[in-house]
Amino acid sequence: MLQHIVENGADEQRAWALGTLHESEQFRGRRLASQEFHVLGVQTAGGQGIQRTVYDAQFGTMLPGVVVRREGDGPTGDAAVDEAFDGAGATYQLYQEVYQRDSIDGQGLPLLSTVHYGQGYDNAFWNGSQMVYGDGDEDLTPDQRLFNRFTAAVDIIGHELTHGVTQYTSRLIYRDQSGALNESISDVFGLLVKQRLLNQTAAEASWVVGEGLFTANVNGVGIRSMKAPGTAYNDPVLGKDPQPGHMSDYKQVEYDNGGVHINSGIPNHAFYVTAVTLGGNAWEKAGRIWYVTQRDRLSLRTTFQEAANHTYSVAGELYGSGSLEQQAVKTGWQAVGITVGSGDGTPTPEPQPQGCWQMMLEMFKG
Amino acid sequence: MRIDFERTGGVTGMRVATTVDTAKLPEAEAETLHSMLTEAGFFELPAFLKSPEPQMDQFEYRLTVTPDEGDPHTVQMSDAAAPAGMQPLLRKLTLMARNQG
Repeated sequence: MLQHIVENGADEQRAWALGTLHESEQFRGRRLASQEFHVLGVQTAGGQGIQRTVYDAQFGTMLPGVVVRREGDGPTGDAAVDEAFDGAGATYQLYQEVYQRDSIDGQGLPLLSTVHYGQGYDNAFWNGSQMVYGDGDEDLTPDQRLFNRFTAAVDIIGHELTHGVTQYTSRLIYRDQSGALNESISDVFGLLVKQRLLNQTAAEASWVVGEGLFTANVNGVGIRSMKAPGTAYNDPVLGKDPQPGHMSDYKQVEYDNGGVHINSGIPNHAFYVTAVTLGGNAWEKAGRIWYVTQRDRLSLRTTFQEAANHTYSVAGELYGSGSLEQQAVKTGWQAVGITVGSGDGTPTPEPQPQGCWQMMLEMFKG
Repeated sequence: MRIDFERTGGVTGMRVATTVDTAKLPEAEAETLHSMLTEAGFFELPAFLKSPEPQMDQFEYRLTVTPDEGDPHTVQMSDAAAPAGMQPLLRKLTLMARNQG
């Protein structure tokens, strides 16, 4: 019955059914692999273009919440709703117009966002099927408030949506080095969404993640800096930006899944150096190298060294061996203490994802 | 009663941590924390409440409560897997860690 709803129901019914299926699969201890999204018919009938829906969780934690804006609807006047809607649009456009990717899964997957999630929820996340945004410290007085609503930064919207792209492409495991790469890719493409919206070159951009999230009460410019990791904030309440910008400062910690939001500073800085070395708009060449690498080369357990090797070889394929583009990639990784082509050599290829029928047979095996 | 609280992860990746000794708090505040723990059913929660796959940019909480008498109880939970009844307590402890609550 749940599958019937997923296949035939309206957007919000599908999202609810998919969420319930997620949970029941969880009880059976099985993953709902990305290919199963297609079996369950969540995607649109391809080629329809963008399909956005925004929901309101009304300060609770039930997802997805009440539908408040659908594709084709005009602005609602609720800033969080309209920012989530527009930011999803800008992200869709980057992937479609620059990289010829039709939504998160490449097949027009609907973009679902929930705003006004939780109370005093200073966060945004991707739950495997949709984006979720809090309002920051709306429960505090203005003089105490540290965080604005999380839809206020369009690169955060791009960051969350890119976690979806990663889920459908490389599937980088969200811990340790592969997790830090996963995080870095979200920061990179989130900022590329913003830079393209503002028509900024790599030289003009700030390369700060999350500008606009902090209120004036915080001593900081954003939550991370790709240009200068470790300098984004230094605040008496929030503490100091912990990011390293070089392999020699890699942080071996247990929390944050092995520091995925911390060590992402290293590949972030490598991308920044690559982009400013190349000049022009970062989404055109540097972004293309990173996108093709994520789509075709990265996999579950890719390390920083392996990612460096892959970006270098992809740059050679796209722009020529010995090209300026390939040299810029080498320079980028050198800046963070990684020499492309060194280390253990090419990694063992991951097994290819199973075909659609194979996945269905696996599902019915029980 | 002693409360050891840590929140990590989230898209901001900031670590928030504090240790609270309720004996050193104003009585009303200590009472509030005690009753929040009871209402949330904290001592009956399992040691791990996790989403089966890491949902990207969720908060991760680690909460250890050591009662005056009895064994400490630790729960590690992802924020989307935390029961709704725990949310107000998690928010209060976060604000206490930030010296704002």
